[in-house]
Amino acid sequence: MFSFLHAADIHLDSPLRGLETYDDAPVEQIRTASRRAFDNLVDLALEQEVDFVLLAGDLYDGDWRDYNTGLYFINRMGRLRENNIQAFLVSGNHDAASQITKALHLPGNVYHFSHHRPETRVLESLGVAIHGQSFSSRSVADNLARQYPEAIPGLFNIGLLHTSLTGRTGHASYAPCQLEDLLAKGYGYWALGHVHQREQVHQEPWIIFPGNIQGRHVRETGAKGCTLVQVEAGVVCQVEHVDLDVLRFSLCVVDLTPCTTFDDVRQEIHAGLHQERQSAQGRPVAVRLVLQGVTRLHSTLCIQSHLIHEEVRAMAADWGDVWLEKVVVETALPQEQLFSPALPDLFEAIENLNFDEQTWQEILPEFEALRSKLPAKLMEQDNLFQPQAHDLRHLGQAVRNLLMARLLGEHHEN
Amino acid sequence: MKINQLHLFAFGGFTDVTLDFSSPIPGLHVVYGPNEAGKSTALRGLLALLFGFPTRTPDNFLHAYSQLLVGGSLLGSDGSEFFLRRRKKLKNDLFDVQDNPLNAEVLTPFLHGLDQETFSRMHGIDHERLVQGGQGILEQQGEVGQALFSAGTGFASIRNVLSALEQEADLLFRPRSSKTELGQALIHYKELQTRMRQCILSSSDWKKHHQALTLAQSRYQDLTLEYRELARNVRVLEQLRQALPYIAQLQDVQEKLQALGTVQVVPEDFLQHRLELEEGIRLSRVELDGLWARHKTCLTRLAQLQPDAAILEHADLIEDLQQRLGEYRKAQTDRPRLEGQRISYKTEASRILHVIRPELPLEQVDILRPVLAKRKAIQSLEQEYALANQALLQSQKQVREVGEELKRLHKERDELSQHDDVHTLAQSVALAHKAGDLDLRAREVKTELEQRKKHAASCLQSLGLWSGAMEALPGLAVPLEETIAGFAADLDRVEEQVKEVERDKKHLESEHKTLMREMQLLEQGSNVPELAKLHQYRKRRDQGWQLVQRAWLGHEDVDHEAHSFDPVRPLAKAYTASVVDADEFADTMYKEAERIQKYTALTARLKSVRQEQEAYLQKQQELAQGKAELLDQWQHLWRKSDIHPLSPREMQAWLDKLEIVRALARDIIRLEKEVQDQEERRQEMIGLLYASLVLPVQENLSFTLVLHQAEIQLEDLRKIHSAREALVGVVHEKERFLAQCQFQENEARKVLQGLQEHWESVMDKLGFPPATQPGEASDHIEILQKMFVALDEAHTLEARQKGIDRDAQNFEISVRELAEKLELQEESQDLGFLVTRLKSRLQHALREQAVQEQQHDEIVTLEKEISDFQARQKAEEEGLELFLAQIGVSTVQESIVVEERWHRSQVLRARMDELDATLASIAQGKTVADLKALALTWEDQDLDGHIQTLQESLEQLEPEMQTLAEDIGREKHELSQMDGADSAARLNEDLEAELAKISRITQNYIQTMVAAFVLRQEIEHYRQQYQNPLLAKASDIFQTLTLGSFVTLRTDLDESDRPILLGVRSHDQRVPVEGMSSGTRDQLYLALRLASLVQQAELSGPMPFIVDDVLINFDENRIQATLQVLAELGEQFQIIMFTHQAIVRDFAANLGRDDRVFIHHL
Repeated sequence: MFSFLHAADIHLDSPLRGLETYDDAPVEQIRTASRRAFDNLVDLALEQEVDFVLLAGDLYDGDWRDYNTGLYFINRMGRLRENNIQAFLVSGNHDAASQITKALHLPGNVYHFSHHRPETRVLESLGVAIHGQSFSSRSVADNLARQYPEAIPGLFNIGLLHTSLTGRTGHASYAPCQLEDLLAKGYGYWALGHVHQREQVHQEPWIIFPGNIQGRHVRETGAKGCTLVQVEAGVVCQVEHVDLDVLRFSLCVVDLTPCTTFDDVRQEIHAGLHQERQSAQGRPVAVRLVLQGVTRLHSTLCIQSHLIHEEVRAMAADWGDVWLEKVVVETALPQEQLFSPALPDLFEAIENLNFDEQTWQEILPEFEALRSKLPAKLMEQDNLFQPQAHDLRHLGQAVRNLLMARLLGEHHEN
Repeated sequence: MKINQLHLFAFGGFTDVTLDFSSPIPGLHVVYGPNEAGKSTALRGLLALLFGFPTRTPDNFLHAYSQLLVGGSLLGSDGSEFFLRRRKKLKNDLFDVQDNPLNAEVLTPFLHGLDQETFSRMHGIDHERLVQGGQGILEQQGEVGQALFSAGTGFASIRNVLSALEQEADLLFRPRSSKTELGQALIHYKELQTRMRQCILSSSDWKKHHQALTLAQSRYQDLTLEYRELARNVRVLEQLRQALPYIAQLQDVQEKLQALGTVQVVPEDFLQHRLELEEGIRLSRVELDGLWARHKTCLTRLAQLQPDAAILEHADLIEDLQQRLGEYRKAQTDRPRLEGQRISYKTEASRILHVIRPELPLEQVDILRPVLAKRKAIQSLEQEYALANQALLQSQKQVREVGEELKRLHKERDELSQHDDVHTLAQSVALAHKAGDLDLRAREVKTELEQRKKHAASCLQSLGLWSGAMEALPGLAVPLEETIAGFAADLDRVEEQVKEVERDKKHLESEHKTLMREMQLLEQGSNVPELAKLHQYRKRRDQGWQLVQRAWLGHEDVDHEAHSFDPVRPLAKAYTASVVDADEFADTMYKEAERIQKYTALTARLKSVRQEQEAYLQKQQELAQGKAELLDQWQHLWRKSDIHPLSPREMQAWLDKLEIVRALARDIIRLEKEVQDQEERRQEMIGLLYASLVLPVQENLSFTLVLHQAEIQLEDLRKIHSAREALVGVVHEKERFLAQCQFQENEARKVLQGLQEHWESVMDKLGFPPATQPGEASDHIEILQKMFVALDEAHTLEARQKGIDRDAQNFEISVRELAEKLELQEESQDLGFLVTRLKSRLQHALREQAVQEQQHDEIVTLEKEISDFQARQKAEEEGLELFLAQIGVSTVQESIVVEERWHRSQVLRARMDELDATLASIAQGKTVADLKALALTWEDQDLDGHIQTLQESLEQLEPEMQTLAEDIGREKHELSQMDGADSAARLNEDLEAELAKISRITQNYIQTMVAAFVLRQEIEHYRQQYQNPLLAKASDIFQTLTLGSFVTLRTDLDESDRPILLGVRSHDQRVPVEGMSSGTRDQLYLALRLASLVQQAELSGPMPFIVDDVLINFDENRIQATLQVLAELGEQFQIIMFTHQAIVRDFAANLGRDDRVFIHHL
């Protein structure tokens, strides 16, 4: 009987995105999250006394050049070596071209698979054969799996591969392959990487994306970690996902339809956030709060959105472990109010504002000066000036809310 | 929508006030209330009815929050009236008239889902907003779109919103400005980027340092090995150089030892032991010589001594004389002083005797000695006399004092006897106590009475319907409960019947309507053919046929009739036509038989329905009459008690309440009686107390106070009584004591008399005069005693003088005898000198005798010691011989030779060991043998030269090694800095946070810009759509409002080609908004506003327009003009105008538009 850990997409020293600091934000609690999550992985390996660890690509970010990151990695691999734990890794699209990968001299217990051809490492004492091939460059369009050798009879065969399979939403297509390609090899376990969302693609033989070990932005919500696998007599007898993340991203959608007063709104938000905190099991949580629902309070919410922001931040500060990423107001007025004949046309026009590509193109020239000033990194990350349909929808909603707030607020102030 | 009624049940200062806005056309309703009348309250009440109470309201000063209630009715666009009530509650505050909760949604059809703010803004205006609107038009520089939009939405100025958006965008970002929020963030971002780049460790850097370190370490290791080898060689040669002299010395010692050959072993402490023995023998010899010398000296001194034997024989006597000589000399000195003293004593005795018995000579004085023996008896008698006298005086004093005190006590007792009547007062007080706290009881009863009265009065007031005195209440004749219940049942029955009839009637009405609709449907297109009409057609045909027959067969002239049959056509044609008509009609009837049947049935049913309706009407009237009669009887029933009754059900409840009030009234009568009783009892008790009191009667004192006074007085009296009792006892005691004192006085007098007689007889016996007082007798005896003392002293001194003389004589005899015996020939005869000489000779003899004895003793001792030492000396000499035999010698000289050889061999061996040890320490790890062998190999070589060469090689290595060590240290330090630190990663995190901020600001900027863009677009859109119709309406209104000062409104383009609004006076004089007075601009805003409302009413149905005191700054003409406009618009939608200006009310009342202008007073 032996056991191993399967993790992928570590992205060491990659920063958390979209978290603008503010007073009372739990800044220190989320510092160096990727390292701390990786420390958790190493601790888990020692605690479980696993026989080896598999890292299925994207250990570093490609454009990250700080050699200290590599030194840190070697240091942690040293801890594994002291406890006779081996590690096997393949490069993925991110770390294939990494300067760090090229320069790093790995300790003896770590094996980095070649990018020239598939290789096989046999662990005689355990009866295990590990097959793997690294990415040779950032972008690999070939079906790498197809070149992997057939299973070695009498051994427990593991395939270590960075791939997008037949494609996964939100992930670029690399080393594409069909499920059948993998099944055809006759391996007992396929340790895949690249897809940040945990996914059990197949069972017997097991094909698993463990997801990344730490969520990095609000689109990577929920628990993150690695897979602990136990094999007995050549058969996988237990597959367990273990959380390693030190911070959770969460999308807290609160339906305000039942609310009739502002107090109700507060309570609903409080309850929603509280639930997110509970599901994070003591970790800090970075929350995007999305207020939805059909409510008469819609106008009030628009007018007082800054108040809500303040209040939610105060709630978060009370807890001390909640980081409010953003508050998005997506509520709507009840239908009868929306189409009330008493509402003058402008309100109706604003309420029905459909902000489309054409309007965007009309106004786009106004932003030319702004565009030239912004950092290139921001332009890579956010589609601020090339909005997709849903971005335009959100923009329309925000503008609608802003105008409602201003027009109605004008009255309030008077 | 229209507000029909506002009912302020309990709100602000209003209780149950109704404003009735129902009118055939919506109209202008002027609600007039002077200041403080509650105009604003009524307006708030209206809003509360529509939208609920705000969380905090100032309108609870009269009615508590829970009591606040407004109600009213709304008229929907479909003509239906909706009744509602609103309470102050957090949730579910809407109710119907039966107080059943209503869902808030029921108001949506009336209010179109508007919230209060939007409603107030769009369908309300006050003076402030009017002014703001006028100001807004100015700020917008008359921009048409904005002006129309502001007026259309009720916003004062849309310009503010737009410019606020633009300003915000400017704060977020401006090209070429780093002070904007985004500019600052970008600067910070760049700083962070620079810092991060500095922190980043490139892999080539690390490699470079790592390689340098490895190289340096390897070279350093090689050099270290070389250095160590050289150093080792130098060390070995240095050792050798150090060891060579010692090796030579060692050889020398070994040779010397060999030359000594075999040596007798001498024990270690042999020499010391031998010397000790020799020293012992020598000391013994010296000691013996000394002893012999001392022995000889003693013998010589003994021969020289011969002590005086004669004087030693009288030694004791000489010692005795020596002592007596001192006494002798002292007595010779004292004798003259004693003689003087004797004479002085004798003179004193003679003087004293002369004082008391001048006649008696000193020599005969002894006859007086017996008197001294009587001294004690006289002293005792004197004391007795004094005591008896004292006792008499004491008892006399006591008798006097007690007598005086008795007198005082008698007086006091007599005084206290005056106030002594305790019992009567005690009895009264006891009775008063038994009666209890009469004041409290009276007060309680009174209070209870008052409370009951108040309660009863308030009950009576809240009861209502009857106003009379409380006393009349128990006797008030009201109908029996059963009678009322009977009436209630009857009325309920009648009501039920009325409702039933009403319900049936409604059913009939709806059936009637249905029937009518169905008939109309049947009649649609063509009339339904009726049988009667067929008869008509046939009758006409028959009539034509008869005319034809008469003309054709009977040749009658039927022209006239034919003309009346058909004035146009000839008879034949007319007849044919009538036949065709009849046939066609018959055909039609045949074809539409079903429709006809249905129609007929409907007609029949309609008829019956109408009949039934009439019957129900009849029944309704009957029921109404029955109900009226019943109510008459009901009123009659109550007339006796002068009560205008409510409904029987209410009166049942009223009666229950009445019964409670009646019970209260009965209680009041009972309590009044009790109050009176209590007062009488109280007065009685006060009277009783005063009767026993020694106080003036005071009016209006409370019972408690009087009782308290009585208690105080009773306490005082009791105290006086007990004081007098105590005094009587004291007086008795004192009288007894006085008698005792008087008896003692008599006894003392008797004793004194007896003593006086005895005294006189004693004086006589002693020879003192009988008149001698007891003190004088003692004095005489004392003087006598002094005289005898002096006389006795003189006798004693005389005896001592005689003793001294006798002793001196005896001493002289003894001295002279001894001097003679010892043949002391001395010239001096002085006794003292003689004795001293004797003494000195005796001392000399004694000293010689003592020395002689001492010498004898010493000689004996010395002889014993000499013998002992001789024996010891011999033993020691024998011991030495035995000791020397140990090493095979017999004499000390031989022994010395042997010892010396042994010592020499020992010294050499020690030196050899020492050298071996030195060499071993030099060898350091090697054996001495190795060292010696090495020395052999290096014999005759240049050791120093070789060492120097090696050291030079070593010194050459050192600098390079030093440099390498420094290199290694530096590289290690560099690499230690590259320890996998996370500083760059942390800065990258900071960068990402800053990027998030930049992203947020950018998005805000985009949103703000887009919002401004959209708003501008929409305003333009609004303008394009509504400009013409709105301006046309607004022009008319504006003309009226400005009393024709402006004839119309126009649009034009300004210099920036923006459409702007202009007022046009007659003769086409155009006035921009900046050229208008502020009042005119207010009117312009009002005109636009009203035009928008008209348009809205046309588009989406009318809504009420609430106007709050907008006419404050208008002059009379313009007020009238405005009212005129509002009255006109009242035809289209309801206008409710709140005002505190009486002039506005009066103008409105006198507009002459009573059909649409209604005045309401608060």
